[in-house]
Amino acid sequence: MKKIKNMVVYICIICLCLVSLTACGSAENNVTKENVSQEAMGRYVEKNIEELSSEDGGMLAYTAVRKDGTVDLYKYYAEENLTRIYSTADGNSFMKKEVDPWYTKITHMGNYYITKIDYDGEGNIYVLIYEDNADSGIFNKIFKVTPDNEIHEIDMEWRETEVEDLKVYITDMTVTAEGELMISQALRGILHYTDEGKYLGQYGSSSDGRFTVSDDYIYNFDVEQLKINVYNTETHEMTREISLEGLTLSLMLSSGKDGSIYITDRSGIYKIVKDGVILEKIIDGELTSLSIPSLHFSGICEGANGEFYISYSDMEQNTSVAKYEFDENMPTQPSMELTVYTLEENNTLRQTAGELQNKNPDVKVNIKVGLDGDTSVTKTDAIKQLNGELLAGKGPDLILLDGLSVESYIQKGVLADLSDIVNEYMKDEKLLSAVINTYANDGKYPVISTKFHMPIIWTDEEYEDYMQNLDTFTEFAKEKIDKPVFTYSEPGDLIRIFSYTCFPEWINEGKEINGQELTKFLQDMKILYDHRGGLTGSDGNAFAWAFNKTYGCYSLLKGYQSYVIENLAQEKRQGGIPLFMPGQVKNIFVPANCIGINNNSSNIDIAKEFVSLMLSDAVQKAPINDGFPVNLNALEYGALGIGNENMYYAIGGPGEEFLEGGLPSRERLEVVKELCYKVKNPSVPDEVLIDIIIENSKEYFAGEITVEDAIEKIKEKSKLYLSE
Amino acid sequence: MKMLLKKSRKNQNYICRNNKKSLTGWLFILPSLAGVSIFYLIPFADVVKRSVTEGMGSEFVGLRNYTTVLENEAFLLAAKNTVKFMLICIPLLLVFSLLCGVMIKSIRGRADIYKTAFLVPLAVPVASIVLIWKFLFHENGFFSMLAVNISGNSIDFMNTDLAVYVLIVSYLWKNTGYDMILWIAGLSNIPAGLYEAASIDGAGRIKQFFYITLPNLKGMLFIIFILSVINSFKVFREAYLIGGNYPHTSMYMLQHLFNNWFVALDIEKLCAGAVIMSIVTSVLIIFFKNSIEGGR
Repeated sequence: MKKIKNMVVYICIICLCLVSLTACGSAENNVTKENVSQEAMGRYVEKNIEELSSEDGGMLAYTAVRKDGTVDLYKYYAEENLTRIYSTADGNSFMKKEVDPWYTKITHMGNYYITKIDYDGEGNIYVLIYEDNADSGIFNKIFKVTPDNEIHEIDMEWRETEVEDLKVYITDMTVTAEGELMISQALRGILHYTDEGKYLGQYGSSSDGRFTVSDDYIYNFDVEQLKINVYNTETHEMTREISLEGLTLSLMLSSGKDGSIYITDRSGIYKIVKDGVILEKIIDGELTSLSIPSLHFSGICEGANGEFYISYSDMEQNTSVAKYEFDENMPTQPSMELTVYTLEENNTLRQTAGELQNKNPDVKVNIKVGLDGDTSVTKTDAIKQLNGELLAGKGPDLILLDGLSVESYIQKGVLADLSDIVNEYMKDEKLLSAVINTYANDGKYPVISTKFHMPIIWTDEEYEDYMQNLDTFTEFAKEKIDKPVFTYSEPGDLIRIFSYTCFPEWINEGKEINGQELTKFLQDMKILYDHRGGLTGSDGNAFAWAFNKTYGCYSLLKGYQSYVIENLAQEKRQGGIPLFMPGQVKNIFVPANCIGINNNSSNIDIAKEFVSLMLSDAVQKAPINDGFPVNLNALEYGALGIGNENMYYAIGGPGEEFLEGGLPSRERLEVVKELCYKVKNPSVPDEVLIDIIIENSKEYFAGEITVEDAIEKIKEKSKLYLSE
Repeated sequence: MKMLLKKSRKNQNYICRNNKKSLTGWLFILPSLAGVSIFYLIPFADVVKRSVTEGMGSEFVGLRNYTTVLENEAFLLAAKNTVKFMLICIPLLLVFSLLCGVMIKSIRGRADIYKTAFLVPLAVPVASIVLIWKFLFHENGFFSMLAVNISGNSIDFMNTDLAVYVLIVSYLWKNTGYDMILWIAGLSNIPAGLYEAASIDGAGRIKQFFYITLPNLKGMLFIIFILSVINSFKVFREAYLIGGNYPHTSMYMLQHLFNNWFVALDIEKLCAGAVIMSIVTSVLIIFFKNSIEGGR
């Protein structure tokens, strides 16, 4: 009996150990055929509506939903100066027709622009117009069009603001089924009127702007506290609050059926049922165009059959409409996941992910951001976590190496060769070879730099000869002592600015400090520092140049879209040209968006497709402002400045200074493009070394030690780092 | 013959019982052994494997990584600093905590208050300690200002050779209480009769200490030594928080180097360095153990 008892105890202990050990196994091992067959099915699938794209020259102007569920999409054709309506009642076919006569009549009644169209439940149409150059300070009117096409201007009891030039400026309007008007008025808030314009009340504070109406409730978005305040439209009392924690400020609200509402932001579309406070994610933004940074979304509406329409526009004023229809045969989550690691948020990755998912609905791109800003993780912690995963063979499929030790990852054989992708593009010489070859070795491309930045100085043409190298630049500073060459206040600022164009000279092959070059650099920096004048960093680099306080201004230019304030300074000065920043090395560029594929990735093919897409026209042309494209078509295209004419900037600087104007002209962009073609030498200054140099040269700049002593200190301090 | 058979059966029963006991023992330590194997032994085996392979791959390179590490200036400096730190700190800590232990043991009443006072540093979080350090030893800190008042010159303790001594003081301050408690436990195990007999024989307090107390604490000495060595590695946290990845060279420890190698993905060097460190530490411990046992 005792033996049996002992046996039972032993067996129990063994079982316990085995269960403990097997519990440590990966969950993937538990996937069986039965599990697979029980995979959750059904999700909304994005489809672009061809008739509504800008390819025919039209631009989506308004979206409105009739109370029977018919969706009307108004498209404006600039060349013909006419507007057409595309209507759909079933979500499948679109009926195209010219706008009714009321539309033209209203636009011809004055200097009017229609800004919003909405319908009530009785077939009346409400038209909000904006009147250009309204002297009275009242910029808007509202017209009611009856089913028999009669047009009446509603006599609104406007609640004017105290600002003389902006008494009434309406940003949005929604009409309830009963014909009551909810309008969003700048500096006033959300106001409630009858269909005859009688003021009924206000919801929320004067800062509220975005809202939607569903059943008897109005939902106001409180930007400051990131929540929705819900008011009863009969009692005007607030009934509840809905927290929007986790969503971004760029969200939009729209009404749904049965009293529900929808909230849309980059992360997806969320539904809140009537009287509810819980957000149910019904469309994952990461699987749709919502996550593409170059596209702006607006005009979200629900169709008669539960489908959604979202209109998108880009910086070049192209518009498109995507339909989101529930497909019960699609798995809820794509079967394949591609993981992309990046230390910091990156627009090119988001853009590429969106493009890839549009092409491959069965692939989900999971972008893991090491430093997402919401946590206290340091850069070192994030890198250690990544390295730990790579060592365990569980690393991401792709790694964006910006901010990481690229050479180290190459040397350790972490990254796969991408030469097939590069060779495919280079067959037709489609890529900027100087940038593409940054990390090439023996015909292999473990890392591809897909964008680049350029350190640029803007100055008057007459000083171009002084901008050849650090010597001529220093001479210039010594000669022109009436004002500094550009704004800088601390030696550290100077060292960082010039590190891009000088750093490659400071380190010898054997990973030692080149004392001679660094000495020369520090001596030149001392001369520049001594001629810094009385300006400080807060005087604004471009502003100082624009208002003639300096001889030029400096910027690490990160793409055509970054060329804004310097262009305004050029406008102000009516001159000036961009040139390569002078330094110890010429024609410098800073590689950016450097991508590599993990050798251990099990999705090498799709990862290569991702990299290929990063280099494609579609991604490289996208105006996402994170670098100059290496794709030559995109480089040429960017220099055309399409859409620039529609942009206008007004920027306030230090004191009363003010710069205003448009984006760079084609001629100015051409000059920058020419510089792009001339880039030759990559430079990625080592942050640790730069910090050591700044820290140990402080006394030299203060005149307390000689340059030789400073160099000795730097060498001593950096020896440890370099010898590691 | 019958007697012989009986004896042999008795022996067999004895062996069987011993085997059963042994099996039961193994089964009891199995969960713990499994944990140690999974979290320490198997990873260490992987470290040893990686120390003789190339980078992230599996190509065997023999002792090349060891040669690289032993020729690496940073490794040599870090090893020198670590050894120096241990050679200064551990004897000081052992002696100082023992003296404190003996003194507190001899105090009648209120001893608990002193024990608690010595243990307080253990409860202070590292981040708070670093703040105190900065307040005391920064270029514009308390001691530097004191130096200005006395000599007219400020001292940037953390960026001079004095940095390591700040680290040593911190280590002693933090660990004295813990070691003292261990010593007191050891002292409590010494029979009071021994002291009584010695005092009848005319031995004074000093003689009692050297001829009774110290010989009876040898077992405890080994445990305290091991724990002190382990705790000496933990001082990296303070050094890292105050000096970052690259502190003053006198404070640059092996943990700094290993941390930086891991960030740079120099896994082969990291593994080779770790194996060397393990060997040296093991040799040190074995040597110390043998010395103590030899002395017995």
